[in-house]
Amino acid sequence: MKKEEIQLANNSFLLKSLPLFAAALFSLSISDVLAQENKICIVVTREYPGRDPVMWDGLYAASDGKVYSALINEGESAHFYVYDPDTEKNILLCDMADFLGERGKGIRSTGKIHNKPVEDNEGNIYFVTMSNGSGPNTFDYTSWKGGHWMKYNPGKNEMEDMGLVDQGIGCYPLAIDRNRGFLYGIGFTGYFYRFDLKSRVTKNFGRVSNWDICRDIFCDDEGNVYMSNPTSQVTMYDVKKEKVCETSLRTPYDPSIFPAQLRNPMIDRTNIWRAVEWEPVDKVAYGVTCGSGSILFRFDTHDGPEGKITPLVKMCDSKFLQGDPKDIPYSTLAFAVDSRNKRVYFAPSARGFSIQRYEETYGSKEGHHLIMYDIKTDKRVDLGIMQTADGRKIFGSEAASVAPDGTVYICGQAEVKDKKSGTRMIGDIPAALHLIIYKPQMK
Amino acid sequence: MITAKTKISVASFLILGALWPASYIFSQDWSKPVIKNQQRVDLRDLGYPMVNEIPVNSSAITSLLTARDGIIYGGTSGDESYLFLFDPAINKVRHLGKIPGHTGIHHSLVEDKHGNIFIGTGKNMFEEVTLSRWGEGDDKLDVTLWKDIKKHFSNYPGGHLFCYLPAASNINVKLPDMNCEAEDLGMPLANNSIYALTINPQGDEIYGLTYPDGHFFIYNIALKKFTDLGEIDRQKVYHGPERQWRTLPRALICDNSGRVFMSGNNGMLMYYDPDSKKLVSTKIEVPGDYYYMQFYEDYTAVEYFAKDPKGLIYGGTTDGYLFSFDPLAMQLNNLGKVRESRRLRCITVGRDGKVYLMAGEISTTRPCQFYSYSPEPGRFETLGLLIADRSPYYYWRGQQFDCMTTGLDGTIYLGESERKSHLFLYIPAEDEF
Repeated sequence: MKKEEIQLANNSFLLKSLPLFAAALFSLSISDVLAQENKICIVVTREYPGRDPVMWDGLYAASDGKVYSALINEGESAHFYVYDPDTEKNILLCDMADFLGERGKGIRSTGKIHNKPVEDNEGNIYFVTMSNGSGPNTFDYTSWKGGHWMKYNPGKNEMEDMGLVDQGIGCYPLAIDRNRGFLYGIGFTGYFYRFDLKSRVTKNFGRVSNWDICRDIFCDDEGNVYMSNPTSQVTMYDVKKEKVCETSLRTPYDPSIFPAQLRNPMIDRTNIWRAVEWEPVDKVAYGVTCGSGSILFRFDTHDGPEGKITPLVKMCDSKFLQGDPKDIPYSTLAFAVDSRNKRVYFAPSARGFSIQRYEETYGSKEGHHLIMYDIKTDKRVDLGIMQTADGRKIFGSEAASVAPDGTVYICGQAEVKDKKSGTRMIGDIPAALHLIIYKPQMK
Repeated sequence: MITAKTKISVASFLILGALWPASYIFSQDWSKPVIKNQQRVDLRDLGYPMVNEIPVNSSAITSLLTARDGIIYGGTSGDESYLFLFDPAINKVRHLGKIPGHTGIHHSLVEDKHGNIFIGTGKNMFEEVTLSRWGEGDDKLDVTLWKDIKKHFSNYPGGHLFCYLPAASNINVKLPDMNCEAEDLGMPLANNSIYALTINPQGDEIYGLTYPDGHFFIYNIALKKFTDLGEIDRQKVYHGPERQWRTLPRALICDNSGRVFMSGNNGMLMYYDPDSKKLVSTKIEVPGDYYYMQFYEDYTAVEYFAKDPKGLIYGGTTDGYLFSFDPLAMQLNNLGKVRESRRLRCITVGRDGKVYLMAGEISTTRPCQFYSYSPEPGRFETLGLLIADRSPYYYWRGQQFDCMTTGLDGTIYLGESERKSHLFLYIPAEDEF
């Protein structure tokens, strides 16, 4: 059987399952849609001191309540901020290009951090830098030194460069094995790396992916690391064997929903998972597919020889649940799990899909909803259109994290009062990235 | 009051705002194909997916050979070595079993006069060699490095020469854990891999090179006898770009008269003369990056050889140079280097007379790139990254390659050398550029 036939067989199986799945989703969600479509979800916003126009995934609410943000000014520098809930302020901790000695040298710089920072058992924060796509692309391609494994010690307020990932390579996703002291990541050319926090040695375990690189990976309680690769395939790093192997597991995938790119290449991020997070209490992972209407799934790595993936609900914007749309935009990275209160939060894109061109989440002037999935009741809830108490709008978001007290932090574009404090116009509304805070009311 | 400066600022802001989405339309493009007609590039999985594919971590293709009947044979490196074939008639790769106890088949496949395939095995060259930070006693760094390399091979009994009979065994289907039906002909040198093989034009005598000791050996097929001619180079240099490899020629080639060429000490060509049965040094320097300031003793080596129908030999070096060598005139021409990155990993001569080459080091950020060289008028062409785009069914960008061969119909076959590898195909086109 040829590769395409196998793919079609898989698709056929999925397609057969889809009507039942869709019907269930539809019946569950239609009432929710009607009731919640115009509801307002009041949030608080906190500005950043910098003027970074974009960010992806770089948000983490730490165990001590502080919130770390990695924002991006492509072609210039990435910036690492910390938010203190007591002072209600974001503070710049590090200009990465400056810290890594890249300024004033005419070389490509660390213009990007594209991973959710992770935390070890001592409260140290880790992240990885990169430059991919952020150039400046007019500079010598070979001039960028590479991504660095970074450590921030909050107690000492000390940033540390732990060394290069690889020559000219940084990582998109990042995961930590707290027990064994390993960081894991995937570089933009698809190689899987492990960094030993004790010996400070990086090891390349070989190529796991083609472009588009999986943006989130997770490490389970046994130390195995899971990642998603085209098309819909799950790959595992086996910590005991210290080898990477493809599994027979597939993430939910609905090929009838348009991929992000209908030009070329047609295999893109829509057939891998977009975001995933390990839930340490129940010892399962929750993730959301990138395409297919943003299907939330539970991944129990202990069920069966390879684990089991169960589709739960669609987490896309409620307006896409009605009818039979093929143009649901691909998922954002604004995805977070609240393991204490058994909730999953997701801020989906509200942008209408364009078959003519590839479009990111940012810049859409539509109202953006916050969606919650209640693990205990297996219910999707549309919490409403995010908006501040003074009526300012929230636009596209690309990162989320839940603090230990259940506060939901999101990083996204928010309306600002004047153009000077904005980093771009969305229609005629000036906007800038903000830390968006949602305080859920627990029953 | 609105000043001119403010107007300019606002205008710039609005213009930038308007341009911003446009710049993102193509922001996810990571690489662009150079080959215009992408249907000329394709790939094959190494077996039936999820059933009897050569396992990941054992699939790096490090040897390729076009047999006289048109079947392409390949050998892999990794956790275990596998032999496989691609039959153009059925358009599929089938693996022919693993060779237990061996983790590499490096540039070591030849076909004898009867159509039997000979396989030289060894250790996986991509395996990490543990390098010591400190030497023993007063050891200098190079002595320590050599000891580390020797230590890496000390637990390996040695590479063997195997004989595979296609007529008897190609018909048999293999599952991943089944062994290759190959006869073990023995071992040329203990604690050494077979690093390269070639065969004489008569197809009855095989020549080989071992690693890391660099012994040249002969295997007489009829007599089933090995003869070790000793080291080809007593000096041990580490020219790179790999920091853990001793610099030795990574390929051998027989000219039409039966002389076996390779690179040797100081980067000079040398050959085995079958008449005198001796290794002969020449003063013909293989092109490389030599540093003429002071205090350097290291030198390049040949990575790969190919021969055109008239007997002209082409070679690629560890520094990335392509050269042609006329063995009758004993004349070498440096044809130049296609990119800054070192290593010409593999080359082949196409039916169109062009030389196809894969250039680039083992690098995660600067992958191999594909080029061709036209002897007339003496011009390189950039073919870029090899991208097999059959999306939405499959899509894969080849980044590492270590062997290449030309099929009877002119198709260029390239062996990908990754954790999970594929056999790539490129169909040349005269009028593509």
